[in-house]
Amino acid sequence: MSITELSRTVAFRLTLFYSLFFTLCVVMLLGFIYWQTAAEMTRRVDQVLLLEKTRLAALRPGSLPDEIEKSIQRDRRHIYFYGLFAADGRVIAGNVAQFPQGVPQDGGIHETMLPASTAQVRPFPARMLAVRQESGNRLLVGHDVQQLIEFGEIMRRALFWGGSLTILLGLAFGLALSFRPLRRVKQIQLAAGLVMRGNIKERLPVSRRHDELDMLAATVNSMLDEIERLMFEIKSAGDNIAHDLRTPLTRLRALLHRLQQQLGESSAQRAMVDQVIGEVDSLLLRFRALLRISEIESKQRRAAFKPIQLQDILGQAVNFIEPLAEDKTISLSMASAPVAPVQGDSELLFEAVVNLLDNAVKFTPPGGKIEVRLCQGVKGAQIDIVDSGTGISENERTSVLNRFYRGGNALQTSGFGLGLSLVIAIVRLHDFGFELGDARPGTRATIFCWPPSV
Amino acid sequence: MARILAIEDDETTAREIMDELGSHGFEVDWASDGKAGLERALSGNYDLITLDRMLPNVDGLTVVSTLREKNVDTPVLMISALSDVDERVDGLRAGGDDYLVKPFASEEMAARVEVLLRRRSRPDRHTRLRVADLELDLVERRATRNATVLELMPTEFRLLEYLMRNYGQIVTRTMLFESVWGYHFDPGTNIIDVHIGRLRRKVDMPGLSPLIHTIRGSGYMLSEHH
Repeated sequence: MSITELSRTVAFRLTLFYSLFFTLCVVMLLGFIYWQTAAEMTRRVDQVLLLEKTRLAALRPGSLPDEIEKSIQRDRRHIYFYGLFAADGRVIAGNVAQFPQGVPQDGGIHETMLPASTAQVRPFPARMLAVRQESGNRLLVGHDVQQLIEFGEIMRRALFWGGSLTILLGLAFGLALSFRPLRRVKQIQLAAGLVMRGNIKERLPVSRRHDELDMLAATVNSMLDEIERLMFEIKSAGDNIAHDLRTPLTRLRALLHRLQQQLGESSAQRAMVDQVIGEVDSLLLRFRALLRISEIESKQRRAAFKPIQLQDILGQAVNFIEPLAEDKTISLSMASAPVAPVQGDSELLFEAVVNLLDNAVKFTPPGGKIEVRLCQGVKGAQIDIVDSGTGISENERTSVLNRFYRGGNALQTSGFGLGLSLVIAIVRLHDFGFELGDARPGTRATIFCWPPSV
Repeated sequence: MARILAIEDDETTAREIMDELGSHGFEVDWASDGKAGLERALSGNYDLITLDRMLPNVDGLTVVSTLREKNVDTPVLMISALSDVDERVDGLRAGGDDYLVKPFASEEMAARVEVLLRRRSRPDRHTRLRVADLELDLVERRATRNATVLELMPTEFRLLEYLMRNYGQIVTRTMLFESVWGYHFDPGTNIIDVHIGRLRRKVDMPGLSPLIHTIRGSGYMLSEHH
């Protein structure tokens, strides 16, 4: 089974949906925690900065540079920054190399980049506030927020990778989960295919898990039981009718024959009786063909099959039909490639081929041609019977295979619509395939000598 | 006059068999079940038995196999509602000489009876068959008519052989199909007629009196006289 098939299962879609939903929830939760933490940390930094501002503002202006140096000394972690700048920008005290441009000296907190200094090699992000003193000096208090930003980075990376992994795992899990149901659906498809090809005894597999697929399979199975029962009833009703008709038909034919014998050659009624006998004979022929199809359909005798050389069977059939074709000036030819023997019933296969050839002769106008080809097909021997006749339209092809149906253009041609049903019954018994196709112009009848399921 | 025993449980069918065979000049006795049929077949001196495959009391297959066990070699024509090849094989294996499927035409049945009787009275041991000026050499596979060698296809040769072996007898299309091609189904079309037509053009050359005759509604007969 392919990835596309697997990815279309309900199990896969549900798993994928859940994993996406789960990832989204986790991202939202962690994001919220991060956001709250970061906000709290920023608030604390800001609070400290405001406290420092208040503390420094309370000092005498003369002691400010000393206090700044002390504060810097106390800060072992080097996260606080102080700067006292003269009006001309000169550094009076502190560890900030120069006053950052564009920062208002309003005592409010701003986030900006502070230039490199003794403590920091590169410019770094910081939250800071600046005030202009009465002396015209500018006081700056800052707090390094590099860690805070790094913390955010780490959180974002964690969310990205965590989320991606969850989704990937969800995908893999979904595929794994859909594998089993899909395999079971495939088994069900296989069994249903066998039923559709006429193996009505076949049932869908039911596991011991009693899951929804089993419930469905069990329902379909009881439906099949019912269909099989109905089919059997119809078939046995048909068979009974046919069986009951045998004896009366034999009697009818015999009585007519007796009547025919009693009427003299020259009697006026003789012609009519002859005609009636002709009709009864064609009735008997059809009747026997019907019985024969029913017999073949109900047969279970594949065990008695023997290896058959198809070349021989086809050769015999061609020889048998050839005079019929010749009478109609139809050229009948055969081309055969060597093929391995097939397992089958030579009598039935001969009958099938003769029926197909007989049909081909009927539907091919005088002067046409019929070709019998035997070749190695995709998975075994393949028999093609191609004629240059009137052809069968797409619509007619299926109905032509049904019992009693005769192609619309065949009404003027004698013969029995049962021929193809018989062919199909024989082909089915052998577990071979049969197809009617367009040979442009004409019809191509093909017997594939391998099971249709392969 | 040949005596025939009809073992058949359906009265009308039995009546028809009796009438038809009677009209061919045979004396026909009727037994309506397997048990009575077997007794009469064993005691009476019959030239041929028509035997229904499915009978009350003793089944048709049992009747024929019992007869063969007791070394009664009277020809048996089995008549059956079962047309399947396996059934036919079973019937012939049990000792039946020919197998006819219901529903059948009376002429078909009569023709088969005639051929079986003929085969009994005139076993096929010849290597050379001869009817009027038509001669068939079975060893050299050569046919001649009026000293002219006939160019026959293998199928035509076998057709002619069968007709000649049963000269003066009606043979039906089904009988020809079964014996010449060896298959047992209804070929359905007029294909046998076409084959006979071909053979006839080669055998009954212009200027010679025809030997192959069509018997309307029944089949063919090879004979000097019509």
